[in-house]
Amino acid sequence: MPAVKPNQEHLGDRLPLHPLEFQILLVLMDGVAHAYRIVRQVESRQPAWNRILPTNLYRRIWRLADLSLIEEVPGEAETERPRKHFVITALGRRVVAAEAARLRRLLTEAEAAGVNPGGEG
Amino acid sequence: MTRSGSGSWEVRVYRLFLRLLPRRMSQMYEADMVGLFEDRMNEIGPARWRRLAFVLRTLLDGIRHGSAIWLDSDRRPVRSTRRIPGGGAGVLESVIQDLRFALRTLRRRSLFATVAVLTLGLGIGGTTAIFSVVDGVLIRDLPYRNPERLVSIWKAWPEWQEVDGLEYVWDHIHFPWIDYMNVRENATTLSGVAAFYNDERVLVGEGRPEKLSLGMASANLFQVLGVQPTLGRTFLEEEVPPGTAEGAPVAVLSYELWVRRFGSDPDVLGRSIQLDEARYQVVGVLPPGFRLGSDLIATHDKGGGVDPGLRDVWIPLPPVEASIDCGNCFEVLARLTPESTIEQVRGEVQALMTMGPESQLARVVSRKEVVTRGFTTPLFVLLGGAGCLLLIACVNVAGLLIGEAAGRQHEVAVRSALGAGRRRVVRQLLTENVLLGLMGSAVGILVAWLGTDALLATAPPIPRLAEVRLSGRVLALAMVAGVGTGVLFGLAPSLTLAGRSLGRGLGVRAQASHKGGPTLQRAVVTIQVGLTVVLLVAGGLFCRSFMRLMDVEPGFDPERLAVVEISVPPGAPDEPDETERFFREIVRALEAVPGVSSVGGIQVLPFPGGLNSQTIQISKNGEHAWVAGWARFVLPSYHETMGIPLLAGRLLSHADAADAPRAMLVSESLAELYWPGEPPVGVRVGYNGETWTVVGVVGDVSQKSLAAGVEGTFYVSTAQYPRRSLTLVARTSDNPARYLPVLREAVWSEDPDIPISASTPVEELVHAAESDDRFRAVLTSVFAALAMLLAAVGVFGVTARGVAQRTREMGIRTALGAQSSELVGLALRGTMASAALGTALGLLAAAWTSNLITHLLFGVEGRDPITFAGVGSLLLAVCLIASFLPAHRVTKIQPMEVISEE
Repeated sequence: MPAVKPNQEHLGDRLPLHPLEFQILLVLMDGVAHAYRIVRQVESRQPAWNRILPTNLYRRIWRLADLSLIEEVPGEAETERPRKHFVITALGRRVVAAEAARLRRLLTEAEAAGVNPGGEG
Repeated sequence: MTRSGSGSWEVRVYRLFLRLLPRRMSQMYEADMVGLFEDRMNEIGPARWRRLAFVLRTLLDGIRHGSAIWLDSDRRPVRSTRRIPGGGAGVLESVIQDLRFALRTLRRRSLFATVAVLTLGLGIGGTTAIFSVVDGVLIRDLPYRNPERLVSIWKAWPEWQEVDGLEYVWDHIHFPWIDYMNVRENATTLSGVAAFYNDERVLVGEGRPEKLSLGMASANLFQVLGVQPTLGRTFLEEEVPPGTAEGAPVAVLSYELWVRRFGSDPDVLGRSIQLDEARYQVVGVLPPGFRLGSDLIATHDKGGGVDPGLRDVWIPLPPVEASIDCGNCFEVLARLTPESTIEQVRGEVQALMTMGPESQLARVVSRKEVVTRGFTTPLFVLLGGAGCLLLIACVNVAGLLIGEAAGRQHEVAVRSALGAGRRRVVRQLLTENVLLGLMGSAVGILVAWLGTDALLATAPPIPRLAEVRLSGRVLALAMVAGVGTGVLFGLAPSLTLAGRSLGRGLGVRAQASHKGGPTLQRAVVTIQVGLTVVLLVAGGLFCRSFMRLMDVEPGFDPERLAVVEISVPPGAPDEPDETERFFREIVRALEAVPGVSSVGGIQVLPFPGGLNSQTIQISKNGEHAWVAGWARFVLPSYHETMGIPLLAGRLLSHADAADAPRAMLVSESLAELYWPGEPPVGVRVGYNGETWTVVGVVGDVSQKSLAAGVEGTFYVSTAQYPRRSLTLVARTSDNPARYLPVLREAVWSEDPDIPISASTPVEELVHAAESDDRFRAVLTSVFAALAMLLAAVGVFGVTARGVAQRTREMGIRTALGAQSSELVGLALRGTMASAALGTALGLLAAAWTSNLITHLLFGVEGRDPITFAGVGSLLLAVCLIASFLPAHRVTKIQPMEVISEE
């Protein structure tokens, strides 16, 4: 595939991200991880009942890989079972930033409209 | 391996599911997804319900996201794989389309779909649960290396065949050491020959003393079986040098003992343990669940119980000098060479036997047959019953499908008119049926999952029950049964529907008549009712047999009897007087426990009792004869404690001491057999080289089971025939299980070194002895009840549909002045004629099949007229009610409405 330098429009094609996709990318910002570690990290940030099940997770991973936001890298075998390890791509980092900016914009708009996130109002 | 290891059923189900995902995705991620699934299962741990809930959630999540993945992948440009020319993906797409459409259709007809899925689920679940037991017990290989080449070898002594009490053992004679060594060293048809025998030892010095079951094995036993230890090693050949005086004192523990007494401590290897007076070094731990049952105990079809074969500890056989004394005591196991056959082995062993009578024969039987003997027929009878239920369920669903087909002609005709080809229509209809079958399988697997647990909880002691689980083979059967039913029973209606001409289909509208329908539907009723009769007859026979059995009195009062088995502590002097005093003191201590009214003792309790047929010499009219009876050695208070009535003379007492004249009690049946008409009190008999006086006659006691009847028995006091271990029974004032800890403490207060083995209250022993009869009765009744329910549903449906289809005709008849009773009769007639035909055919079939179960019945004939008549009338009554309810509706038909609709 020819390397195309992505501009703002290219990023826009990929937005918005599904919340789980966003979370996966956030975990990978910290470095290489395999699926189980991603699940544990994401789950540690949300209510216990909200378990991430395998098909859902791999649906997101497949999409992210397809969009070239993450890619598979050889990882160290921690257990007897080989696991796929993933790393965020440069494009992925830019998309996360763009998604965060989009969310912030939404938040600002909401606040301007008088919504008080986290509060009663 | 953890339960969610790659072989667990959960993982297999998930793997199966992953096949449904786009290939491009599963190629990349399948292993990883399974890995993640296993990780999550491991988090959950062993809690069964939580695991099941997680699997269901994962599958639901899978269906939701899996379908989304398919939709995504359609939109996504394919990068790595090309589409197969000619439409590989096209077919898949249309299959998905079909599936989606099928789902929508089934949702629209939710009542039909629910009834069909539940019906199939019940049938598949019942069959699958029973099949999982049959698979675990009869089909799956024994847990040894190349188990099909393992055999047991016995001698058969034909002249014992006719001797009362020996009929169980004549063809299960074990080997003396010399013959075992002869076979082991000279047989060329065998690649390995091993021997073992069973004994008991007391484990001392590891907390409270405990009596352990012990296996003594030739060093090569585990090698011949092909069993690898979990920890350490098994025996080395040099540990039992045949012919030398010293065997190295080593022991191998069972996995269960290792967990129970040694807390799974791996440092147990090399540790020294004391069994009786001897010390042994632990060198290994066997794999969990290792069993090697004694074939002798397992030879009873009834009541002998099953030796679960769990030996707590194994030691090498003692050297040859010590072994010679035990006579024919070695159970011989051997492994065939790849070339040899059982017949060749038999011939060779026959030639190598030197000890024993001239007429003796060698018997070689495959190990699997030995283990499952006596259980094959009962299990296949149950499997037949379950299969019958499945067939009824299938027929029921077929009936439903045929009925549905009648209602769908219009829809199909419209679709054909819009350009759907015949093949396309058939495929669509088949997809629906396959989907229905799959859902039935899913429900069936759930039912089987629960049913197998329930089965295992209520099952009698069947060998290898611990190996029963829902295996891949069992699940595959459930899937095949579901899909097979969908296709097979859906094909005919689909083809008929699709083949119907356009104009006719469009013209008929939903309610119109369906020519093939009524005949087919009546055939369905006939088949269903016929099969139900067969199941009902089996259920009825087993229930009546069980009730007869429950009427049998065991000959004693089994209520509130607590049991403790105790032995003289290891190391105590082997003096008859000492032993007598020891037991007398224990009995006194136990009788002092509040709530205990009396305490007795015997070497082996009835249920299941023990094989101890011995001979006594009687003289009559100057002639001497040896007769067989069951020998029982008791404490004097035994009969009183058990509630066995004294019929003549007196009971044994402490006055019948070691130095007093020998005194004996005989049972009623023994007395009547040899001294008919007159109680033999005062008669002298020869036994054990001494002359004994019969001092009394006591009531008969069922020894092995209620069904096995009574055996002639004689009783002597342990004061005159000393035993070093006895089973003590205590009559308590309420629930005997509650007394066990107190009784144990009372024993240990006398001497903390007295070994006590786990013991079960008598009532439970009696209950357990009838458990296979109870199991059969309950299970076949459940099958029969379900079958009847399904038949009633089927009859109801067919009549209801018949009434709906004949509304117009009935309306016109009403208009012409027909009475409502005539109309109801008309609506009923067809279904009831089919039901009556089905009942008649079913009774004929039952008369034939009941031959197969006659030998499992007690006190009831296979063709018991009461059962047959009862079943026939019950089922006809049920059918009448089931068809009357919908038939009654014809009286509500308003002729004017019907005619104006025209």
